[in-house]
Amino acid sequence: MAASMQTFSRVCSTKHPIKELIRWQITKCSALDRHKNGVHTSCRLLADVIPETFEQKTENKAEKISKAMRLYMERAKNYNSMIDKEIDEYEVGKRHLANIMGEDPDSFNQDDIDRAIKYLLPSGLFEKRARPQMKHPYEVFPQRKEALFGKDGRPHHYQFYTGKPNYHGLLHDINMKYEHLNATETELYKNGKMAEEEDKKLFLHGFQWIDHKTLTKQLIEEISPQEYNRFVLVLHRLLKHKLSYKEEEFLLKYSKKVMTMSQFRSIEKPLIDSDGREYSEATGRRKTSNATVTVYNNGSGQISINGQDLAYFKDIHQREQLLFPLQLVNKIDKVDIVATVEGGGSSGQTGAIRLALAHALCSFVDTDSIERLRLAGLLTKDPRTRERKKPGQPGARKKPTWKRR
Amino acid sequence: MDALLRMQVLGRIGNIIYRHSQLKTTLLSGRKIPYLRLHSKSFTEKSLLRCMNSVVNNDVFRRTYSITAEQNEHTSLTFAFRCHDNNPANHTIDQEGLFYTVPSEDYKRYLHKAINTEFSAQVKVFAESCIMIRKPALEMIDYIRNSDLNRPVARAIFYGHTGAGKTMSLCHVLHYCSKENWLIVHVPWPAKWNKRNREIAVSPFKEGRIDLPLDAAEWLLHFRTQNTDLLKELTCQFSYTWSKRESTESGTPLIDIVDFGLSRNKFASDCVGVLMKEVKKYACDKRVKVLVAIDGVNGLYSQCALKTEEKENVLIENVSLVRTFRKLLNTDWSNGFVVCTVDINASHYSTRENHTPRYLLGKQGFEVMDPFIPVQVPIYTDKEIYSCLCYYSDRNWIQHPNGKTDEGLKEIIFLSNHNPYTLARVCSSR
Repeated sequence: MAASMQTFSRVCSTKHPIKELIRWQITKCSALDRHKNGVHTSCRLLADVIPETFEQKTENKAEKISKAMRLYMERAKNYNSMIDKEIDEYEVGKRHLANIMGEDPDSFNQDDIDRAIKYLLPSGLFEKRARPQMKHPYEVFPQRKEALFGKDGRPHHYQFYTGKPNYHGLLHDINMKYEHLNATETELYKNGKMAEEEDKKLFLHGFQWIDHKTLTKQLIEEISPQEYNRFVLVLHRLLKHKLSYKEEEFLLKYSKKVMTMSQFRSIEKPLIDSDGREYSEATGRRKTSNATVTVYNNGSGQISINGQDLAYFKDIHQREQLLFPLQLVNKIDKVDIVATVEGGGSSGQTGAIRLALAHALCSFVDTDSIERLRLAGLLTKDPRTRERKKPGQPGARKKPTWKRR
Repeated sequence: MDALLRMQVLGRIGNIIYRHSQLKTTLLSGRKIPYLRLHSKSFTEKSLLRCMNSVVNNDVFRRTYSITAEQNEHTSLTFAFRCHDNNPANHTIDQEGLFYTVPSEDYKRYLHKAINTEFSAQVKVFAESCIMIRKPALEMIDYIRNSDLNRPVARAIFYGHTGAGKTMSLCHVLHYCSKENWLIVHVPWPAKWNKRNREIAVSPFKEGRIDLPLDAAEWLLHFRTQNTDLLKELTCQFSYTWSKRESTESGTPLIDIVDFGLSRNKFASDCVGVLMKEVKKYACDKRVKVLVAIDGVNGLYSQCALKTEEKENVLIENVSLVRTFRKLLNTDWSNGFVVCTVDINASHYSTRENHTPRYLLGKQGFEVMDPFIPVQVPIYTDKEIYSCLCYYSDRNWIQHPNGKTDEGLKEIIFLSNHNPYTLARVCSSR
């Protein structure tokens, strides 16, 4: 290395230093090539090389970098133009679709598009993502970041060289805010105005921090679980600060409200039949059984299953299952139930009726009871079905007799 | 301690608690019980009492087995459920839903073999046999009371779903007739004779006839227990030769024939036949009123699973016991009444779709029985079911305190679907 330094200083005086560096690199590269062939050479000056190719190679490297820049810019431009083209196509397609459906093209939104596609191109595929869809290009094509560095190769973001500038920038911002709040606190203590701030502590009730996936989407960067945990820790530290109310807006940006599941469902209103009685219908499934249950309000506890009364179920376990939702909402002898069920065995039929019954009862009880039904698991369809038999085995899990040898 | 003994002990404890009302009220109120000196002769009872005193003063016991005042308020079990008149002749529709106690001598004599295992176990535990007074039985007793015995015998059939109370209604009627000094010909379950595991013998008197020696002997014993006095009175009107050495002269009391059949199983089935012939004759002569009670009469007309030694199927017509009792169902005699039940469990597995008499009797049976008085035995009404639950609660059979609250009762009633048998089963496991 010392020898090479000497040669460098010899050369440096004459030419542009950066160009020299470039030239130096090239020689290094070629030296390494030579090294591969087994001939050991130290770093050689370009002077050893044929003079005609000297200028060509330096130009190539600079060209290569600016070429890289150019290509990058081109790619970004192509991408943007592609996206714009897709958006235009999407808009035009939307209007065409509205015309096909006979609706107003101007007020045709994404929900209408989904409905239209479902109607025109019905699909029975189980995987929803495999079905035909028409979505806005921003949702279809993965989001890309804007040009990360300018023509001169200088990156825009000050954290670019971390590899995840958005993430680290965000952490930095949070910590800057925390420092700022600390400084504010010190000031307030100095002026004796800390007492005023006592009542203003920020509590985010019913809120959760945004989850991993949302953060990844927001930052358009791959966030590892450890990084996500770090992020949550740092945010939490900011929240716990006494003066965090000053940053409420910022904190709310990274939190989401926790809603009880029952708030997602709307309560179905009961229907009224020809006799003026209130009733509600619901269907339920379990294994291979399908049940339809009609629950009449203001009844006396009469139950009819496929024309028979509760004696349809001979086992007491099955009757207990039907008792469960009624007992939970205290409606054992207050409603009449008419159920029809087909398919499956006794247990499956019972489960189907129970689910349908619970859903039907939701129309006649208050939200608290609905929540209790939901927590008891009565409103959830039991997804378990019979496991398929595998080839080479007698059953789903049973294996042939195991022999040691 | 095996299960039977445990039940007996529990029954004893329950009995003691019931009899000593002071103990009961203090238990229920949750107060501590001072040592009670009770005059009890039996050693078992005394030791039980001593045991109980220590147990009952135990906090855990009291917490589990006493209802607090609060819970008492919530319970609907405040009905009067007992009828104090134990003579079925005095029962009227006003006492519908109430329980009357069958005195234990009557129970042992008449009903012991008549009832199913569920009720007999209950009798052992509660140390008393209580039957609910229900409309079908009252109706039947009314028919019997008002029937013109000069005419050929009337036939009546109890029918209903499994567990509705047909056998119990029959028992009620049996008790009534026994009190009125009728001669009782009671066949508990003829379908038992159709099973493959019966021991059969070829009849010595008729070719092709199949005898059931052990079953005939069992029935003779049952007949004897029910009608000992009457059998001692009545004498046989014909003489019978059983074999070269054994014969019965006319004029010997019928009970001798019974005893003969019991001692010589070979001739037991024929003894049954002979006795029935005599009984019919006596009925026609107005000597004695006869009640024929058959529980599960469709068992006499259903498929038979018996096989001879040559592995040939036996036709039910060829079984001597079946022939004998089929003859009793005919209308060629008077001064009697025939009460039967048709039970779905008495039929063969292939013919169990319907519980109605016409279906269960089949063509042949229906032709014999028609015309008959059908009496349906329904499942419990609300009044009856609450009365029954009161009784169970009184007997401490519903032990969980929640079982006596309104909510608990609703649960029990829902699960049992108002069926008496299912109600007994549900209460026994809670």
